[in-house]
Amino acid sequence: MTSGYAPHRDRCAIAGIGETAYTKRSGMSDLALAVTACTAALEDAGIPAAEVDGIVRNDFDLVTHNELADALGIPNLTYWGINGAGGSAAPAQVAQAVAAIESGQASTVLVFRALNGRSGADRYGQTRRVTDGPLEVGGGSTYDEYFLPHGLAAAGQAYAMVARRHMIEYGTTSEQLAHIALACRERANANPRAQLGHRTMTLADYEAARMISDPLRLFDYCLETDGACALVVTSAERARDGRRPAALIRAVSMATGRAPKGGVLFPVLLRDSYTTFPSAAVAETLYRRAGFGPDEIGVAQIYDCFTITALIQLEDYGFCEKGEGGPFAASGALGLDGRLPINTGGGHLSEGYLHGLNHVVEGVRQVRGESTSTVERNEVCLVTGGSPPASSALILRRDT
Amino acid sequence: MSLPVPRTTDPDSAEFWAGAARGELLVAIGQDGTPVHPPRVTGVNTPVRWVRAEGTARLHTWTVARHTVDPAFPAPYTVVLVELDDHPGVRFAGHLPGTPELYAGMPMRVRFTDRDGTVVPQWIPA
Repeated sequence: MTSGYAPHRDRCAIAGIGETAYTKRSGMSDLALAVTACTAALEDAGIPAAEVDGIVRNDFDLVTHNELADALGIPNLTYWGINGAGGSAAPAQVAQAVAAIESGQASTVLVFRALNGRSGADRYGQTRRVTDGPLEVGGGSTYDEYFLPHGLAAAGQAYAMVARRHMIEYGTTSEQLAHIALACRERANANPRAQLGHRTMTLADYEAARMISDPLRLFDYCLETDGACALVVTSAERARDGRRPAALIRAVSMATGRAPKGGVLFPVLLRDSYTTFPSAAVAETLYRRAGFGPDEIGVAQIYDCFTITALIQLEDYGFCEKGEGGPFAASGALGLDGRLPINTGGGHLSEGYLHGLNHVVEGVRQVRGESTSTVERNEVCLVTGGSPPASSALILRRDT
Repeated sequence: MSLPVPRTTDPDSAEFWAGAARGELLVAIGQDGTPVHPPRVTGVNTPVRWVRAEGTARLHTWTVARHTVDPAFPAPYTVVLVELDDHPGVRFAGHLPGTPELYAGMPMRVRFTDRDGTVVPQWIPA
């Protein structure tokens, strides 16, 4: 069983970060995006590609470890890993890198995510269903046969049902959800890399935006993004010899929680509760491994494919009581001078949707003191992955 | 535009769809006497029999799709999630045209509909 025994505590670090521009149309292949971000991360770290011996990719990524190693001129990979599904992966990809390093299977691991999420064939927010003929859906342990025939096609519809249930159980309101979107937008307005950095937003703008899947409106949704980001994960020792301050990985955690059901997304609606995410189980292990709890965390990058996703995690990670995520968000707690500034680069809602990995990049910027919205308490940053159906998180710490 | 039809031949759920074709809403019951939902072979509670549910339920949550994602389902339409009265915790999704008035806990009942020769259980306000 998982316990407080955490031999990986502070032993590995993120030595370098890299990104492409975040756009609606990259005009680049997924591979070119990945190479651009990885090259930037290695440059940032001051570590040559020849030193890399591990790669961890996202299971939704079209770029394979072989292809990326070839394109970067990595002489030999001794470790590769895959994590998913999709948005649950980013902190877990780092966790896999830590595991590989700590077990001696690799010494320096690239973690990346590259996608043409807007211009590519698999546009996020669209359905992949073929619509030019009768089509059987489901089977093969997807359980989609119980959902897709009813018009459930996109992730936002499932999260809308989660949001409605949270409203039913706890009285959460759309205005409370808006405060998450507004906090992200305000941070994006300071970040020149953010896709919506140039557009301000008021509560009235949020409320005036069209409903997509009631109760979720346009600005409850994250962005469809083309781009890539990458991390160089290595031992703390090696990172200290690098070009930039090491961002120590205090603790990592992955969890499914109890009885997670199967499939990728819609079957989460069959869980005992779908207003508590596996994030609650992630948090329990994470804090035990870190040796401290939410009180020590001054800033967080909270996975925000939708506003409701972030709101529920505020509860699951212990920043407020269960059901109090709405009032907590509306209290001003998420602002720069609030109890818990979140998504300080703008998040998925306003910076871009890199499937969680840009949250890790921003977490590194925070602990380095290089964010466009560096907060006062920036020594310890929580970074969380998507939920449901399973999730992951990590805690970064400034090397002091 | 063709609507998606459920695959009815999966070994885990074939019995459920065969029941639907007879106008019966079946729930799989496992070795420990509790429902196995979605029905599937597991290591902890594998289905050993199927029982016919009453077909009454309460509305658990819903969403009104205002934006068309799949052209086969033009907006607006409503997707409901109901929980069975006689098997608490067992939930099913359903489709309602348009934007009906709904409230949490609203009584719902099953209605069997034909889609290209496949019977699909639907849920409507009771």
